[in-house]
Order: sequence, then structure tokens, then C-alpha cells
Amino acid sequence: MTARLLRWLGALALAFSAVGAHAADLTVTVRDASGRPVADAVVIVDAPGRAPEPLQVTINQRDMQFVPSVVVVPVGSTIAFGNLDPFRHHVYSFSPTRRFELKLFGAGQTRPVTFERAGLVAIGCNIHDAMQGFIHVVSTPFVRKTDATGRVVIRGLPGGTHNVRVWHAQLRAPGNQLTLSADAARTPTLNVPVRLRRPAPSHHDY
Amino acid sequence: MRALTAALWTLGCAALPAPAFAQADLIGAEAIDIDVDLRASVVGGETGWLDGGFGKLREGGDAGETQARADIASVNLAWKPQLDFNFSGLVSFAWQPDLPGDDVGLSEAFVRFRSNPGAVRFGARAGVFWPPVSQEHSGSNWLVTDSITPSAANSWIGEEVKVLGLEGTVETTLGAHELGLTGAVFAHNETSGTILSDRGWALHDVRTMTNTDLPLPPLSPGAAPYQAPITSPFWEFDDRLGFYARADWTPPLPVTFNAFYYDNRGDGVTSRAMQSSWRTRFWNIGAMANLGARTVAKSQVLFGNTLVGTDTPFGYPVDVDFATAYLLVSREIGPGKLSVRGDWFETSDNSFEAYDNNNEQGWAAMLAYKAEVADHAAVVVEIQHVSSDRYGRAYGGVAADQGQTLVQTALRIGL
Repeated sequence: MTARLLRWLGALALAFSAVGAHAADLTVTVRDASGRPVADAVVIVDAPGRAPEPLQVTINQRDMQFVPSVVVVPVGSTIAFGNLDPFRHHVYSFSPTRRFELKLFGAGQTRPVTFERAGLVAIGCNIHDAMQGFIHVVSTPFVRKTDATGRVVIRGLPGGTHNVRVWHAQLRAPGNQLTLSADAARTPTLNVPVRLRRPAPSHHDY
Repeated sequence: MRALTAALWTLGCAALPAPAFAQADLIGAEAIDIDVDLRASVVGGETGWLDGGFGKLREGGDAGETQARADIASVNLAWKPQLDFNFSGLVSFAWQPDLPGDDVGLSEAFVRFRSNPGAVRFGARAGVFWPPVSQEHSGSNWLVTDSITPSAANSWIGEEVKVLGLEGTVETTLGAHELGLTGAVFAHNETSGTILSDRGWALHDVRTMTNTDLPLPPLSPGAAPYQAPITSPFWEFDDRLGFYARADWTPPLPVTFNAFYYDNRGDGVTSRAMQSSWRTRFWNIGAMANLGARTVAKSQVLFGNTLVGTDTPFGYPVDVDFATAYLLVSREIGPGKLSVRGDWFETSDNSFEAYDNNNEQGWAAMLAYKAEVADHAAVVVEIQHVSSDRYGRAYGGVAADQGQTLVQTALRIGL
């Protein structure tokens, strides 16, 4: 019995060391047609991995914008919506992933919403049409949002070739998303050129 | 017609909640907007139109003498109940001390419906409101956003194009293109065109309330026997409904376009207290573009015709074509926004010029800087020049060709 247990533990240790040996980091840099870095692009690598723990995150309404306007959270996370403007907001989502409606009428008021399903949630304000925000609810650890330099590092990817999905709110592609493939062990860096839409001025709120 | 008018008045002016909305957020500080506009100005040149002259700006000189003034431009109060996600309302009032006669009045009062966001989104408004023409006004008190003085086009909308109406809107997307269609029937815009004919274009931020009487300058010998020295833009007395329609198109580019057509279908002959029903029709073509991250350009071209009276072998007693256009460019600089605008305007008289000459040509240029100075306060500094040639100034003993420059600053407090 003891020998069998030792053999099993040995095999497990070998398996872990093998995974460790093949785990690799992937650096993705997203740039627009002019070569400028693209911030707030969400990079998701479709590789098997343990679901991350839920988080507590805040999205504020400030100067008639969602701040931040793009967030990535694990399934089960709670987002607190706060109003830092001196006027009312009425935050909503009609996305199938999570429908909700929050009246944030008072400055400094905060309301929480929990996100139990993976998917993309588009949020808006019923009073200010120009306000737009996006919440990526994910069940994978291999996802990050690009910083101001357009760069993101996805760490500890398992070996092999995986799909790499790049999403941006203004990306000119079906579903605002491009899908590429990469093997981080062989190609640790990936440069992704994208074409972005420049939004039109918002309609007046008559 | 009277039944429709009564129904719209009930809907628009009352805007009262049904019992089902008893739990909605209807009152309290969050449902109220108060906007106060304190103004200081320096201007020379001819007497302003609000003081009975032909001057084209909010303030004028005193028979050529430069004047410095400090006063309250307006105090505005809006109640904007959000009944539920789909239904909301707006009732707004303004006090504009510069207005002769009633200086407190009802600005807008309507109930509004918008369906949930989806592939097709429907909307409706019923009550008193300005038709969707101006790209320079916004908010619950319909105030100018980037400057103090709006363009000639939108100054006129604020003067003579307020309606009691029922409006419907459909919005959808076709591929990457956003489309919108709006249509409305309306009443209470009977005398629209009067001030445009008898005074011509102007540039100012005075807005007509439902009870406002706007002063007219000295009238021509041909017009004086038939026209009161004032015009009441919100009157209704020929019992004919007008209509307007608008189309919006936003392609997958940083630009959006709109086209608007209006016809008040006035019969041209019915009159009350020496004010006539005018037949006024116009087009407005608008565009807005993002020029980079911090710069926005806006432009409108507005043109049409206004008639009064019956057709004679020599034409209508008044038959005036009117046109104006502007280009406004705003750029965020430092803590605020700098705006530059150029206006062109013209009226062309088609009849009886010897007795009632309403021809006019002019242009205007504006430079304004607006900065938020606190959470609830903004300062706007503006210089506005206008130059115009109007034969009709002779009816008041003023030279036809006039230029005027107004320097003003506004402290806007929003609560």
C-alpha cells in the first residue's frame, strides 16, 4: 500500500515538473494602423487552467464616463458601481450574460452587482447615451487587459498551440474580436496590428 | 385638432405620474436641475433688438455709445422625474430678466418613452419642446454647451420654433451604420417666420417660453398696418397641424449626419391681435465630426421660406427666402474648451420690396473659452462679432450696414 502510494506521488511530482518545464509566458503587444499602442484591449488565451478566485472591483461614473471603461473579472466577482458625478446616472445592462439596472442618483452613492456567468457584459447609462462600458467575466486565468503601452503578459501558459483572442470595443472585426494562435514556448512575443473605429460625436440629448 | 391640442397639453404640461409609478424617484434634489447664468458684457454699436432696435446680439450699444452691463442672464429650473427605465418626464421654467413683458415662463414640458436597448429602439415624446434641430443646445434646461451665443440658425430655433407636439423615433443599425428616423405632428407654432422677416437673423441665447412676446424693430410702411409690434411665437389660432421629420445617419466613421424638414402648414390668413398665421417651411442639414481625440467640428445649413397673406398678381404680401450656415470647431485646451465659429446668413425678399424690404446679408465670427472652475460652476468668456447689411434699418432711421462686437463673460452655476 505504502509502495503504491509512493509510486503515485512520484508520478504526480513528475507530471507537475513536466508541466512546469513547459509552462511559458506570452507577451502580446497591440498597436493600431498608425503603430500607436492600443490600451484597454482584452487578450484571452484559450488554454486549460484553474478558474481564478472572484474579486471585488469598482467601476465609477466620473465626468460622464465609466472609469475604468473596460474591466476583466473572474466569474463570481462583485463590482461596486459608484457615482462620483454631481448628477444622476442610471446604469444598466441588457446583455444576456447579466441583466441589471441601477439608479445611481446621489453623488457618492455605490451599488454592488455580482456576475455569476462568463461572458461579455455591455453597460450603459439610461440618462447619458454616450456612456459605454464593458465587463469581461471570465473563467480562465489566462486573460489580461493591455496597459497604456498596448502590452500585456500572460504568464504560465501550458505547452502547445492555443487560440489567442484579442478584443477591443472599437476593433473593426466581427464581435470586435480577432482570433490568432500561438505557442508561447516557441514564440514568446506576439505583435497584433489592429484597425480601430473612431467613434462619431454623440447625438445631442434633446 | 382642438382635442389633440388639449390632449397634448394634458400630457406635456402635467407630466404627472400614474399611480403605478408611485415608487419611482419623482421628487428630491436628484430630480431637480437649477442653472443660473450671471453675465457681464461690453458692447458698442446699434441698439439691440431686445431694446427695440435692429441690433443682432443679446446686448446692444446705446445709440452708438459703448455700454458695460452686469446682470442675471437667466435662472432655469427643471424637474426631470425618471418614472421607470422606459418613461421619464421633463418640466422646465426659465426667468430671463432681459425679456420685455413676461420674463418668467414654461420652457419645455413633455413625457418621454424609450424602449429597452435592442436591435430596434423606439422612442416618443409628447408635450412642449424644441424640435431636434440644434446641435449646440443640450441638457434639461436647453442651454448652449460650448459658448454663450449660439449660431444664427439655433438662435432662431430658440426664438420661433418651439412646438406642442407628438413625436416618434425609431433607431436601428444596418451593418456598421446607425440609422434613426423621427417624425412629429405639432401645433402652437403659428407665427414662426415673423421675426425672421421683420428683424432678420440674430445671434443670442434668449429662448422663447410658451408665454413670451418678442419685440420687433420699427416696421416698414407696408407691414406696420398689419403687424403688431411684437410676435408671440407659441400662439395657435388657425387650427392646422404642422409636421416635421428627421433622419440620422452615423456611418462607421467619426462623423454623423442628420437632415430635418419642417412645415408649420400655417394658412397664412388667419389672424389674432394683429398677428398672422405664417406658412414657414425649412430644411436643416447637420453634421458633427470628431477630428482627433480632443477636437469636434459641428456644422448646420438651414434654409427655407416663409409666407403670409394670399397670393396676388404681384406675389404674397410677404414672401421671404432665408438661409444660414455655420461651422463650429471646439478643442479641449488646458482645463477647458476653446470654440471658434463662423456664421453666414441671408434673407431674400421675393415681393413688394418697395414697401417692405426684408433683404439682408451678413456674417458673424465667435471665439469662446469655457472652463469648469468647480464641481457646480463654469466660466465662459466670449467675443462675438456680427456684420450685416439690411435695408430695413432705414425704417428706424439707422444706416443699413452695421457691425457690432460683444465681449461677454458668463458664470454658470448648476445645482
